Amino acid sequence: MNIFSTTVVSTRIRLARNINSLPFPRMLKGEEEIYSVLYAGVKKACDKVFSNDYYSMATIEPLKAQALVERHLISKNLVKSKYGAAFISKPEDISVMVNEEDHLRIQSILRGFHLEDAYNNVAKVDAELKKNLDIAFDSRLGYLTSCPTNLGSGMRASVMLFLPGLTMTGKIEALILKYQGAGITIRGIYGEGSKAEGYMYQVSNQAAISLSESEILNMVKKVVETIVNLEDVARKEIATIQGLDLKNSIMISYGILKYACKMSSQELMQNLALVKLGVALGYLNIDIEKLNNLTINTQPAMMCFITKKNMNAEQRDIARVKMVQDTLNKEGV
Amino acid sequence: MYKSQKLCDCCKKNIANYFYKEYVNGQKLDIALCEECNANSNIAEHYNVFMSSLFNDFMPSPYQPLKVARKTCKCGCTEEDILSTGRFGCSECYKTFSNIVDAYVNKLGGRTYAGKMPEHVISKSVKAPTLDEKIQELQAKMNAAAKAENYVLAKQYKDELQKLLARRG
Repeated sequence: MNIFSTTVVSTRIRLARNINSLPFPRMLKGEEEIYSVLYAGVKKACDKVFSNDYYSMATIEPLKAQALVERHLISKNLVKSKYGAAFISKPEDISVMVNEEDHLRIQSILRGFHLEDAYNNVAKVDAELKKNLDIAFDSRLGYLTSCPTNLGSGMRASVMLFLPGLTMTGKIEALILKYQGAGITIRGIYGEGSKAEGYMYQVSNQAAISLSESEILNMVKKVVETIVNLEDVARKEIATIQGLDLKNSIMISYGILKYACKMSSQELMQNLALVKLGVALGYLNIDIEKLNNLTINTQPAMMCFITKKNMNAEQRDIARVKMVQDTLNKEGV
Repeated sequence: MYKSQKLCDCCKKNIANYFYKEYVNGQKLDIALCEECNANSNIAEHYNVFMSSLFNDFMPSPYQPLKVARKTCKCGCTEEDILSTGRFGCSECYKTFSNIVDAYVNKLGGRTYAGKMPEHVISKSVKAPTLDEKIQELQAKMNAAAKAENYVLAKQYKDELQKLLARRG
């Protein structure tokens, strides 16, 4: 099995943009007519590039908002923003957040390793936005942003990676330190640092005014390729050293997923991670995409959203296992 | 909010555009300075040092706000606000608080933007500056930095200047 398909989960590119002379969102004080002009400008641009759904944070149902957060389409910060809004493409590959930390956060998330495609998506939206809005730009500093760490291209390229081999061999710590000094941040997604739950990490570029868009893309691409190859070596190493013990742990996790009656989100994450490793090592034959989908779809709000039921914690734990078992049964395993 | 018509407390000639409130022995002291006096005064020097120490990595720092109210931008943002939150208030803040911006850019090695330009900026800058114009601009920047006793920045300008002079031959 291709090492990239079992390691790279998704790719995200985001651009931060602001409107000239309009106070940044944290300083906005309720000039409603300004927001209507801003929303109209963004809508006009988005409509030209992708068919979309519009969500205002003032009126969205909390559960729906949380489900969008769990799908990484909007941020927690946007939900808190009184004047926040989002335009989300129908296939959910592009979203434009209005009045998050910056006036505009344009992002594209794609499954797998597709930096260029994700960049092309945001660049198209960015070009249209510039036709409709006076975007703040300085020839020395680049795009002007609320936080100076986003100055320059205002671009953050991040790739979500599944790294059980590097975590189990303890090599991830050294990699995090090595890349910290080289303009790249590696952090655990569902936890902190090396204690990343589910062995999930995010690799992204750090603040750099002087780097162009293509330089950032190339830098992140090279680092991800290096890490993926190191992960390949580490997986072979643990498979050789731990042998039957590792396979035993994987099959126990598989058994738990298959036959448990209820399960917390954290337990699921741990067992699912081992089963994914089992797929990568060829012990199990399951579509890894479907397992990745389970990580998102079994989050609390997503489960209520999919089942169209408001559930308490125990009801969710029961429904979570059912969702996993339905997926495994459909896969015929 | 803007006290643009107040005369400089130091030279009493120019219009002040830097406003400070210092607390000395419990007494509030209002000081208004023009561009030139601000660059030469001890307050500015003390403040430049203070700022550069804060901009180590622009993360939430163990910053202790001084009992000082600084310049205010049109959006209502003050220097204290920027330093304590690590966030600017509007695009104009980048001009109003150019000292903070310069300190930050220098911390990152002083290099400037090299990515794609928006269309309206490209059309404005069709005429690229000549080598002589660049040299003149750098000389002015170097002199201003030296006058403000910002020797690190002055040295950077000097190095860039020498490269350009070598290219001119």
